[in-house]
Amino acid sequence: MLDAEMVLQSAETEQPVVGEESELLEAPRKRLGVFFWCCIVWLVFLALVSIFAGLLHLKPPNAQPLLPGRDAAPSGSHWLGTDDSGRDLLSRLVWGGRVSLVIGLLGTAIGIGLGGTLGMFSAYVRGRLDAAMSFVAYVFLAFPAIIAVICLLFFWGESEVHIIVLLGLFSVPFIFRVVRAATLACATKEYVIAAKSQGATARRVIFKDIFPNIIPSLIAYTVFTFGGIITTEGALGFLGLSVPAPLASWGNLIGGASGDTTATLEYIFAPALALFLTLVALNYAGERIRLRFDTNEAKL
Amino acid sequence: MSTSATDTVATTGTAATKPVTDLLLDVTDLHTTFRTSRGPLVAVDGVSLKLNRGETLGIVGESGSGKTVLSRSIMGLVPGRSTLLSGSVVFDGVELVGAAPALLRSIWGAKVAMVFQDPMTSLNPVHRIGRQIAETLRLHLKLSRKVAKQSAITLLTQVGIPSPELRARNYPVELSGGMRQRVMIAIALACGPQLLLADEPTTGLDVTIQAQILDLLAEAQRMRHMAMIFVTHDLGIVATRTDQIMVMYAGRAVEFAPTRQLFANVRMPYTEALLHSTPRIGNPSHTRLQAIDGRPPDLVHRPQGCAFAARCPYAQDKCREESPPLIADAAEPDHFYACWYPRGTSTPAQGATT
Repeated sequence: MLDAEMVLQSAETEQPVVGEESELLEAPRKRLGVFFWCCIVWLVFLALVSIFAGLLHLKPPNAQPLLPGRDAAPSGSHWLGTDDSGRDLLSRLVWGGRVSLVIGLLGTAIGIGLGGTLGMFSAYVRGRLDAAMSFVAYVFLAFPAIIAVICLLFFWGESEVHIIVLLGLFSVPFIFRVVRAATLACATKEYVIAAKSQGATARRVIFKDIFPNIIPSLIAYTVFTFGGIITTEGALGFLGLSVPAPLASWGNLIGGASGDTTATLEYIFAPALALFLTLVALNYAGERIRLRFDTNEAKL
Repeated sequence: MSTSATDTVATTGTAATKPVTDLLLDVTDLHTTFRTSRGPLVAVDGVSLKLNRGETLGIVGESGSGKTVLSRSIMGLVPGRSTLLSGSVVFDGVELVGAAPALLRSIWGAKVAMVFQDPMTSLNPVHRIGRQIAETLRLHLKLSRKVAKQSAITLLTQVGIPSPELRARNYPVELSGGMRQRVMIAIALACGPQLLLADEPTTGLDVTIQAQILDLLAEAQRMRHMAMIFVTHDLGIVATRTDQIMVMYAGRAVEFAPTRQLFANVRMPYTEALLHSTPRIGNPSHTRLQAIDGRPPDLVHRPQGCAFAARCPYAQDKCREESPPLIADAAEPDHFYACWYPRGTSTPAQGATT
């Protein structure tokens, strides 16, 4: 009687606690959250503005007026004011963002394409080749990429293509490492052995059985890489080593504002804020996606 | 004149076609060695066996006795580079040890198929099950997408999955363990293999489902005249469903006999211990289960003498010094065992001195 009561009591007291706990553990992982969608909205907005920049009736970004209103405050004709050459800042911000995003996108494509393929291949074959490739990747990761990029740009000359290729290549070791780790975890799973036991070739196993399983972590790290490349491009632009003038990029704009003693507040803050918001959005969204798909074996 | 000519043609005709023998699998002195940082680990140490078409061999042993590695080594499905495979595996007249990867791939899935231990992890979580079955069909039988899909649904029906058209569109997560194992069996049976390797196919399932899966395998085997190697640690499962049983310990066959003879005259103390460690329904409740004390030996540093000596209640000095060979029983020529002092015989085995 007493025992039964105690059991009942403990059941009553423990039940809700257990429920609450599991909910606490589940909720932040599963739900993407409001802030995530804010980030996505901002990124989609940026993408649309960049894609349709030509249709926005903006003033030409690189045209210097004959009677320059230099470093003008915002007005009806120049919503964000003008820079030290009298060019419309809003237009330069939009077109500059387009340059930054294109560099980020293409650089990421190079990084994912090369790093992803090499990472999967390396982890699948193992052995000496894998050891050698990992060694090279770690050497590259240990070396500050921005210094290497600055040196190489100095010799090759600054152009959009050079910047895309260099930033893409320097993101390869990062992607390589992540994809290699994900593939290693996947390659020892029974379904991979099962696929082999059904007579699948290595290529088939890699692309049909392993690749779909690493897509979630790949998506997350694609987003991180994208942010990383935009940041590096910004740093290069600030140092005057990004796309050559008069082309704008966010980095160039920030650099331009920093060298302009009479710059308006908008000129200083607008490009920096755009870059900052984009990076926050990318990193937060990437992290949420990573957590969302971070399943372990028991949940399969 | 004309009759002799036709005779000759007939003879050459039969000689040219491959002679149909009952022998499907002939494994001779198979060794599997893993190169580890501590030194070479001999996981399978000189195992030989023969299997006829349509027959079932049970491989029994506790965890770490090398039974899974043996079944994978027979297929040649061992991780490369760090693993050394030697000896001979002749499957349907084709040598598999050292065979080219392309040859192995053409046999895997088509002629030899495998059912894995854990149906929770052996299906790819990102593909629909219908597609996973169809993949194998398209790969080996070169079926079109549409025909393969139809065959996949037929196979699902054959392994007893209700409303197969709907199920084919499910992902593995949407199925229970028993259902998933049925899907695995459907994949294994897809191309009509001559040999099915079942590696503890019921370990991950609960008991009622176990019986269903075992019956399903037995029925598939009977209908297709397929040979089967059944790897398990449960003697009860193999007792009624196999023609021969091989008991493995520390990578070696320690007793090998037709099922009936093995259970009638257990010779090797390890087999006896395994039998005793099976719970019996006739025992009074709370009967203490007779576990085998100790653990299997370290296969990197194999002990001198019989590998089971340290855990064997009948071990004598000779057991700790000399390794017993696998010999045929005096009374039953099909019954092999590796023991100096076999059970059920009053005299020690040949060559043993007290």
